[in-house]
Amino acid sequence: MTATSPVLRHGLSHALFHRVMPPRLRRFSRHRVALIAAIYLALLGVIALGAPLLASAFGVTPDEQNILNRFASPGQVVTLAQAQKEQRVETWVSRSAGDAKHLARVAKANGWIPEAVSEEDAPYEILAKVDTGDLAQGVLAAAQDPSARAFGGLISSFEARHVLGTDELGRDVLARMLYGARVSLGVALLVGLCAGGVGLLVGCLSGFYGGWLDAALMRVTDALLTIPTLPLYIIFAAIDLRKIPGLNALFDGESQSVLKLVVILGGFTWMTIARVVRGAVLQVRRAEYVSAATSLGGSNTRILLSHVLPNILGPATVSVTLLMGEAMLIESGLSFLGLGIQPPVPSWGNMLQNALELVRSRPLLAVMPGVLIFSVIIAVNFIGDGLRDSFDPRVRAE
Amino acid sequence: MFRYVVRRTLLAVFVLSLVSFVSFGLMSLMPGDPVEEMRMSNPEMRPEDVVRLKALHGLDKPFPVRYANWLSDVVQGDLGYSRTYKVPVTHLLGDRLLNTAVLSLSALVLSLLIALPVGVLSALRNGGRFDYVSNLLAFGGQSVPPFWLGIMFIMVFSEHLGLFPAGGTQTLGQEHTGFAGLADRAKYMALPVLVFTVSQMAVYVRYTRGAMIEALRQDHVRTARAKGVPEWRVVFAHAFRNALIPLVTVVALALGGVFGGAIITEQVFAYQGVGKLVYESILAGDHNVAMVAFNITIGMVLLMNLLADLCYAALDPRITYA
Repeated sequence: MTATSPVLRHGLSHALFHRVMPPRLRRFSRHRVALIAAIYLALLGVIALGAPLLASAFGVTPDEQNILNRFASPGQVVTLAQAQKEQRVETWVSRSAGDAKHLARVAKANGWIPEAVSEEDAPYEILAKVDTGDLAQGVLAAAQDPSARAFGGLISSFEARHVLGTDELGRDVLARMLYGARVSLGVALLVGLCAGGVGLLVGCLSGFYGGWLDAALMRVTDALLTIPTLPLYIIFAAIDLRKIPGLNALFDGESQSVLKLVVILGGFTWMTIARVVRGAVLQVRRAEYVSAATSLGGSNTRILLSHVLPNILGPATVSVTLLMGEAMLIESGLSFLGLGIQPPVPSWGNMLQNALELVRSRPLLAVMPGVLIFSVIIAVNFIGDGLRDSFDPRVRAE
Repeated sequence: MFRYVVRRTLLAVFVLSLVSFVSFGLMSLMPGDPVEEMRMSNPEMRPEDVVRLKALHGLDKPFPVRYANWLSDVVQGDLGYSRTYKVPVTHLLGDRLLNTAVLSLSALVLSLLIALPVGVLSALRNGGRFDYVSNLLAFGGQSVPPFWLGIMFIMVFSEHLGLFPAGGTQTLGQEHTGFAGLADRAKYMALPVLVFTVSQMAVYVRYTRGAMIEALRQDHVRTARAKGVPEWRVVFAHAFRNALIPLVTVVALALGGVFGGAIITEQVFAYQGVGKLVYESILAGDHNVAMVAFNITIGMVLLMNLLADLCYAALDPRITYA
């Protein structure tokens, strides 16, 4: 055998290539659209995580309403009315009385306001100076004193740049979309994890142990698969889970609708994953390395965890990915119907709740969240497709 | 075969009764007991009245008894009375079921008319430009939220172009008859059918393409080509017939969703179908309507599942049922 044989040479460079990059990742990255989709989703994920930072950079929050400022056009800078400003200062003073007193002393010491101003009037006086331009906002923000900085933060929040405008309650659309990304992506991710976990468990038990356990689990799976899901989701979303004893503690608080949706969607979508996993386990169980492990005296748990599980992760990942896309589709639909994520928690779906009435007057409000939902679902589907290609041995042969 | 049908039918009846039991239980968890609601809207009602009314309608009984009462009424053909519409449920359902069936079936036919040729062509041009574009469109159709697509269609076709009405089932106040009536209905149905078509067409394109590629790889197709059979005959008589088998199942399953699949689309377009009825009656706590409509939806799915399996056996003699 000579080292110059073309077959071997090809083999060598191939081996080198394999070492540089894991084969699955390489095949996945060959699927260029899937790669772009993955980068897009990663970017959105980072943006979702950094939502508070981005929102505060524009001086906006997702929940703050301002009836005087409904349907602001994109890019508009909005300043609160005088009465609104004073009201907010009043709330601040009553909430942090100590800070207000301290602020008055600091302001007089620095000569921002005359000595004669009473302690109660001091914050309003500072506000007036800032408004007239006698005192720069930067001075407050750069102050050594924490109470002055806090007050500076309050004053800077009176001016908001609404990059994408405001909605029917005067809430900033960009901030709601950013925070909505957390909810919408988070729900999809959590549903994927829940359904993936249940599906993996059921599929593994069913495929690996077989017998009556398999029969029982598969009957349940089949029965659940025949039920049309949408009416079921509507029933579940409409009922009050807190009426079921023992669950009331679980579904309390503002974000209860998020949790509820995750539980409902997770509870009725694991079946497809269970079937995929079961099929894969049945295939792997016949493999020689499994019988080798059995004859070496490996316990069932060991074989399942270290021989079967790693080899079925491929198809399982594909179906979980596709499921996340579907979860997002359902979440947005239910939230649109008013049954999913409940306001004030923003989600891309519930931002479209009033879209039908706004089609004529504010088309952008009806378009933007939908474009986000659409783009994310299509990205997830592309990734699922890319993953399938990279895990499918038949594609590998071509 | 006969025993198989009997067994499957029994199983379907069992699943349906289980589902109706569970859904009955779930609805009793929904806020708003009818007598409680009466009391809230009528301060003059005395506690004795509440007790009397609850006893009259059997609401004081435990849940299994209430379910048994409801079931025996339904089996005897008494579907109950709608609380919101103030008419017997039977009056309400007929039109709604018909409306939804017309909507779903036209969308199904339309999407098959488009998807079959596109899928076959894309399988023949596997890897080519046409395949690429149709794949991309199929991806889009599968990923777009139907409700948003509906909103966008309303925006473009009804607000800007003024081609179709934004919602409804027929022009109110004008009782068209005959052909004019049909044309009027068609105008209102166009957009919902379009939305429904786009979202299910994608699945059919992908199935047709996959099944055709699989069928074209078979040995008998190569043999037919080697014999010199004309290409169109190879494609349609040898490959397409085999590709149809999985497709028939998919279509039969889709027929099962004929009543339940269009809930969101009907809601967006205010189309008076059974899906909208299910949604509204569940939200309004109109239990009689919700229970019947919901269980018809599920019964349809179970029936079509059975038919799909039987079609499978009829089309592929290799499959037999024990």
